Amino acid sequence: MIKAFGVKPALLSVMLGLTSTSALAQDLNILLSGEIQADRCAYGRGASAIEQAKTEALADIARALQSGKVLSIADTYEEMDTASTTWLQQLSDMAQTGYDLRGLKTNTSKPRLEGTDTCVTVSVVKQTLGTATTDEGSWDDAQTIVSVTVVGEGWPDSQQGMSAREAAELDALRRAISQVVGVWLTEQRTQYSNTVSHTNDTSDNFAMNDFVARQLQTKSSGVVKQWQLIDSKAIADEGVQVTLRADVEKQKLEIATSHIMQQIGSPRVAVNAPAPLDSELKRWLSSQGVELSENANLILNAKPRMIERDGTARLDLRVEVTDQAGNIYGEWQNDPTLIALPNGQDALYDLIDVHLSLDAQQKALRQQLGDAFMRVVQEGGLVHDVYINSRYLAKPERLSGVISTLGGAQDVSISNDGKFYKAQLRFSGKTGDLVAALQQSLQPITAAELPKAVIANEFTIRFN
Amino acid sequence: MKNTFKIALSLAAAAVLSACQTTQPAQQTQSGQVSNRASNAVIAKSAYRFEDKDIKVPAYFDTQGLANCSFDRSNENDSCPLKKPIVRMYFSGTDVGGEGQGVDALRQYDDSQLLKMLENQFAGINRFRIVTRDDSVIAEEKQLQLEQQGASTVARTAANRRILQPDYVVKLDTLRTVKNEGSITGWMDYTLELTAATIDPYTREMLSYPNLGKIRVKSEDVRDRSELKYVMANNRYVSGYRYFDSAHVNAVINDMASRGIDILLTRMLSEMPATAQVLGIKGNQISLDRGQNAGVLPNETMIIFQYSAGFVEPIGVANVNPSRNSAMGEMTLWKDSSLADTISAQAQAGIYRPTNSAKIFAVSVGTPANFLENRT
Repeated sequence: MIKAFGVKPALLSVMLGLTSTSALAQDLNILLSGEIQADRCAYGRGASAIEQAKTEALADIARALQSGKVLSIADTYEEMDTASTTWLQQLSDMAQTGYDLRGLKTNTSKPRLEGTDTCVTVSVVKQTLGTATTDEGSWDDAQTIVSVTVVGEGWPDSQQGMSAREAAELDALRRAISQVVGVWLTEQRTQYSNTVSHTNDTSDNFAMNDFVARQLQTKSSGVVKQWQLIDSKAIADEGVQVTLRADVEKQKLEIATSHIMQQIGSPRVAVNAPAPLDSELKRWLSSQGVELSENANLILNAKPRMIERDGTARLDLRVEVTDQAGNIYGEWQNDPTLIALPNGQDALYDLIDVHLSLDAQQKALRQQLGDAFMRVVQEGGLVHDVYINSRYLAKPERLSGVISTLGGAQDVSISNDGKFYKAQLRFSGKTGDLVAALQQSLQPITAAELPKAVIANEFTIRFN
Repeated sequence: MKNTFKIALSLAAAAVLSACQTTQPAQQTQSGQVSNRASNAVIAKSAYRFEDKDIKVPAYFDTQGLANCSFDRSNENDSCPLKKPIVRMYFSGTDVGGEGQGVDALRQYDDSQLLKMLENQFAGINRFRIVTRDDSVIAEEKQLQLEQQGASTVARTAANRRILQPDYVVKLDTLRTVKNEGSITGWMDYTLELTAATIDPYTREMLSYPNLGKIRVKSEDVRDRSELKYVMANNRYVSGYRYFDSAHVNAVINDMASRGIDILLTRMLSEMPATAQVLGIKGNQISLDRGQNAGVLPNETMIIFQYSAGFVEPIGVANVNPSRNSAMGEMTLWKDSSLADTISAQAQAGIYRPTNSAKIFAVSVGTPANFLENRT
């Protein structure tokens, strides 16, 4: 292990990449113990000066090692013990045969001051020479099925009429899907990085994988081809722990996952903000791949406020993602302390420009949008309003029940203003699909044939 | 016999009593004059003019080492001697009360420009890190950069280089007064009193250090009395100094404030002297481990002393000139002591390197001799 003042082996490896071998380090010191030392100074104080001196010393050592002439520098070679001479010989031989000397451990002395310079001594001590290997798995495109072994836990659920074992199996299968989704999403990160922030944060990744797995499971798209129970045991509180081996179908999973990711990533949004913020935000959203529509159900409400002081202005910008019904899905606020500009006519333009061009703020806003879109999907899709003229309905009391049975519909509520029945529901698919499904499933409760639906906007369907 | 004994006893008692009476109460205090004279700047004597008796270690010497420093300005260790408090400066202009000749013009004095001058001067002595309050210049520059470098560059730079958060507030209070003397031919007499306070803005604690005391500047320090003379007739101004004209009054007050700030600076440099560790002595040349970064000024007169077992022993005086992070000095006079002789002899023979148990330090004696000529 490298000592407290040691340098990462990688640094030496960078140095080893240097091609110049002309200046063979005449200032190198080779001790009787076989330790190779270089003493270097750099102008200044503190970490940067120490780092520079260390880099120079490492470069000199690297040059000497690469030239394979370490032995010729060692004045004390004759007096060394066998172990030390063998080690130097080994170093020399390995360099000459082109062997990779990366990973050599180095020690760095405590820095000392000499006038305006800071000096350090870097040394390579006697050590066992070897190389490191890496072993990382990846998504193999040739495979059609991915087999994973997972453990699931479950407890009896009387509300859903599930036994502990059923719950445990469901849990295990969800974990299996989540595990495979995780690998796939990591591979596809670049593709979705614009719409959903799939960060390096492990907890975020788990949350995303788990979320997609839940969605896949509820859609019962059959991504698990088959599974096999390996082990089962009872756990506390009448629970069961099962170990399964599940075969997950890659292609189905890919299609289903990308469908969900698209849903999360690209619902249309309307921008509600005063000028010039609205045009700036629209421009930014377009550049982020978010589709804009005046009539979208998701609304980006932005409120700018100028903080004025002594002839200067700062921008306080708050953005909320809501739907037409007023549900808030995400919030974002800029950092008003970022910059102050002279308070003039164009101050607002300039401030918006600066704030929206900052990577960190862009990322935070994108993340909020991504999270908001994810919440929309998580809650079962956007809220849609369906208006049906009363005269078409023979059994209006069954309206709620019928709509609730539609695939992808949930949170159904019905109201009536005398002339129209208004059904409000969350639907995760396209509006066209909802219209087709409505026309088909409403037939048993209609008095007359439903007219052609009028799609007032993406989220309002009228049967006038 | 009996009487003789009584007399002897009485004499002895009297002798004892008289002895008691000769014991005087301790005189530890003396009365002093409270003066309202104008303050003056106190600066260091040039190292070349020092005599042996002058070589003594001044107050506020500080022997901390650089070993505690990370040299990262934004994240410096608290125990590092190079860590300077971040301050924002305020001029708390006290209102001029009352009515009378010239009072209105004096009241109109605007000290916002003075504040900027104060910031500039204080920044130069490197005792604090100052966060400027000059919003307009900063905003103007950012606007220009926005036009010339583009929004994303400006945004990135602004995000990476955030405004420093002050540890303290340095507040200067001023008291301005005016009086006029004479009848037909009169003259104005202005007085400006300055006090400085260092305040923790969160705890509201006013720090006792640095203690700069009170600085009093009178108009006669900056203007000849004849320049402030005016002539009145029938209670109306006729000629001479335009005491009612704020521009003229500002000119006088500005000069007075400027002088006040100069004195303030010299006091600050005495209260917060520059200190450094001596790395080596070669002949009469000394090498110090810090320079401008520790506030060492050009032509600094520094006392060189050995610090061992909690005792300080001066060994000489040096004239020091800084580089960015080190300083070189010339020993102008070695103290007449055996320690100084030993060190001097070793330094003449080669390089004298102080040991860890007897380190050698340098401390400045205050404002460098030529500071007022060259920097104010």
